[in-house]
Amino acid sequence: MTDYSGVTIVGCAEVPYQRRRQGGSTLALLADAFQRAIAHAGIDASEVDGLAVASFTLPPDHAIDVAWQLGLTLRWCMDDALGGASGVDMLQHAARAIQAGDAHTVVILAADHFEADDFKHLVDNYNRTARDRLAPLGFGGPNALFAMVTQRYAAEYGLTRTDFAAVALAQRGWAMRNPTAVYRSELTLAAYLAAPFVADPLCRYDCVPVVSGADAVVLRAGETGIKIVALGARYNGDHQQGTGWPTGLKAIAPALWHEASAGPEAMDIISVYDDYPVMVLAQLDDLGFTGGEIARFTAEGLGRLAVNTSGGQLSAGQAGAAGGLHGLVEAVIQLRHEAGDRQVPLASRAVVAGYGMVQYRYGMCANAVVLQA
Amino acid sequence: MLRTCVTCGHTEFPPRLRCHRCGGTSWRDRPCGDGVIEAVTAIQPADPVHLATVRTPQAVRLIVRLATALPLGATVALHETENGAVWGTSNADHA
Repeated sequence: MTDYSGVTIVGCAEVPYQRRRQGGSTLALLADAFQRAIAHAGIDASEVDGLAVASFTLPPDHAIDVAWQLGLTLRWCMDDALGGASGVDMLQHAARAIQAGDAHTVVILAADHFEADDFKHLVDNYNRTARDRLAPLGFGGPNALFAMVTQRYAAEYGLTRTDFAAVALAQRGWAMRNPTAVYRSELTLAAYLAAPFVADPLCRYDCVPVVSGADAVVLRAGETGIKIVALGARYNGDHQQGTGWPTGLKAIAPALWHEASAGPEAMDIISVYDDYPVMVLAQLDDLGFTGGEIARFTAEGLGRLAVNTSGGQLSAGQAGAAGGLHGLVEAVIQLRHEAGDRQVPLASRAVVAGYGMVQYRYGMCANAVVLQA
Repeated sequence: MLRTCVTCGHTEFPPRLRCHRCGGTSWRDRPCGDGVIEAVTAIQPADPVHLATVRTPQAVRLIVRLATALPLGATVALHETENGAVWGTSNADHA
């Protein structure tokens, strides 16, 4: 079902995230990420014949305008609009294009540059429902929605704020070893519990810091590089009729592990889309990492597993659509053993999950890929 | 205003073009009525905006604005304002 042979990941890049970037543009960030990624892959721009782009702030431009700006002549071009699920989505499409012979070398890009009012405009106009049904409530963006998901999840599994803190603290521990994370100072449980609510029960440390930044991955026809061994996606799995969990990952996990000929226990690196700690726990549970015992898992599992080793978006920053590529880039860096102080020794297998695109109450999209060095 | 599929009776909010249960494309409007609060939050602590997830008897879940903080399990009357916002009010709000 998911044979991705003949395609490899040969490079990646992240333009260091900045909390309040002065000047610059989304286009400039995309160009920077492109240049860094092809340098990392050791290829020339003239070899790139496919380009995919995800960005919330790129309009009025599109992927083809980015190609024009970069001086690329292409055989394959794609705009992606799956937000936190855009990385795995672009990877899926690009890999199929390469397998089919429609492209040989594809760069997938994501970036967002936010000025002061851009983020509010984005959340109030995220889609038709947000514009027409949520913005009139004065809802202020997804924090309130995921506060309510968190409240119900905690009641369902008997969790306290300490369990959600475990996610934020574990990821901060990784961020302290990542020189490009925007928050790198030690975070204690006391500081977490003392922080004022942003949207009860969420405090500042449960909410991602919005940043400007860009990410890129390079794929190529061939057998040398990081391989895609399984990939799956599920969009609109429950039609917003549920509680917000499980995510679509629960339905695709059995086939994903079967195709990978490996289970969760074989993963050296785990990247899950961390818009909020509750969604980290939900995705880890859906993928089979918790044994179904969430409270016990938060106390010991997060210290044992390598989850979101960049510090994740909670500590490294949330760069809009680039957040959809962030976890994939980190997994590639780890599998290439280029992660410096935070390198997981001998890392050879990774799972990367995407999640996002809030329709009304929670995300519509979930996808995942298993990679092997 | 909720919408009920004329073909299969499934009720939805917010409105969409095609019923995911049966594929029907004809809908009839239906008043929101009452609902029970399943989750609550407040944003902007200095000048709180109270929001809730409310479940109606048709099992539709709505995100609504509350005038004041209300507890989980409280029943609220739902009404839609002209700008598209749904508000939930309890009898206590009128007391």
